[in-house]
Amino acid sequence: MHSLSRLLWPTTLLIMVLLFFGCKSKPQSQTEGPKPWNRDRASAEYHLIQTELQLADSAKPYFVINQPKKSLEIRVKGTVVWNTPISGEGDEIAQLRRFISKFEEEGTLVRMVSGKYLFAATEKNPDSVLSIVSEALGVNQDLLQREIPSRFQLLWENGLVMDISTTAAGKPISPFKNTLMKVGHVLKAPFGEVRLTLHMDKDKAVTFWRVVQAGTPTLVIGG
Amino acid sequence: MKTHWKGIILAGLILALGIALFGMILTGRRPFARQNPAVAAPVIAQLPQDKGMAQKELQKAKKALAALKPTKPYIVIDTHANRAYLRTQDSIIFEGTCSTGSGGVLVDSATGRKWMFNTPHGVFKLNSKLAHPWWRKPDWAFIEENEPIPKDPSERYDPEMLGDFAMGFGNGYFIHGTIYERLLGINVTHGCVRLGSEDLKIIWDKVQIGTPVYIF
Repeated sequence: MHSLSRLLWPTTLLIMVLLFFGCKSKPQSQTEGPKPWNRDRASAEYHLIQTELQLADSAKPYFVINQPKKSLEIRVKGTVVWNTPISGEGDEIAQLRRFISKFEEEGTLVRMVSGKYLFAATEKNPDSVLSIVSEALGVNQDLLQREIPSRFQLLWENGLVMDISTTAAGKPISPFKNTLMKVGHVLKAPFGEVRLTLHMDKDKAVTFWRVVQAGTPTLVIGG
Repeated sequence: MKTHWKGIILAGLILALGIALFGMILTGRRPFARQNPAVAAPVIAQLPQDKGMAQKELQKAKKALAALKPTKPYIVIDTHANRAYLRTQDSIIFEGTCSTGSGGVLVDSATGRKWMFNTPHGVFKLNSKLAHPWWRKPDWAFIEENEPIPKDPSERYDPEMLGDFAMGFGNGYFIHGTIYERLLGINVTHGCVRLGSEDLKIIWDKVQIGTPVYIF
């Protein structure tokens, strides 16, 4: 009887230890274990990384449409220097999905911005401080003040249009050109134009409008 | 009946121009704009067939990309909006108004020397942190004020112009304070980045020598 109790204690202890580690390790293996090797997924990831490494080779900013993070980003050498969320209001997410799908046709991850167009912006109101400063610095007063865009478009080949309205209340730059642009879009719509309509804070829009130019590389990170 | 040839030719030209513009609109081309290549040169990036080698290659690429990204907070200077940030990849720790280069040009009429007052764009690292910095005025500071360049070096020093702190990021450029806080948010500097005294102190306390500085 005595020898039986001497055996019982270590056995109970061993079972408890095994149970403890068993319970602890089970959820870890379910949630954090390495994903099984998937060649297609790995190839896509490798292609994306190599593409970004090529863009990051220069110190020039590039524009990133990041679907998993639902954000627009400007990066310099692989590092985010500006970003703004895609709010997901209305059908923004569905539009984003269609936009990225069209962007990625034929495996394309990078397209250059082919053009941009400013529909409306706030008026510049030079004040006395600016005029004194411009005179002292010998710099055109107009250059010292930023126009705040209230609506603009970015264009890419393949019928891709990003239409951005901002929190700034602006005036049309040229009603005639605006009408021409709108007519152009109406005509192009049946030929597969895909539009992503977003809303942006005016302070964010100032930077975005100024940094992204025709020729700026745009990288998409799909979901 | 008199034939109006000039009118017919003009109408024909206008019609041809209209068709060309219409075609450009339909094909998505911008008339009269400089054309850029629409798609970047494709990256030849294929993983090796062997699974082990492919996994190794993918890890190597991931490491190369990760190595570009700072692991600690970094400074970002947005010269377009004149905003300064201390941030990580995903979040903004601090945000303030700054002033950056005016883009102005100064020419010394006596010698022909020329200065351009731009804030440099690119990636830099803080290489100095100075408390109570004195500004050693360069030649352009005297030329700009129509003052003679002093022969005595001690006449070049100004103890107040840079504010309480200065953080150098190379080639004589600094992030520093200013006595002209009213001008923050405007492109008025000679290339340095000016911050208000409170914002400057916040950033000063959170960065070290080696902190990356991204200016765009």
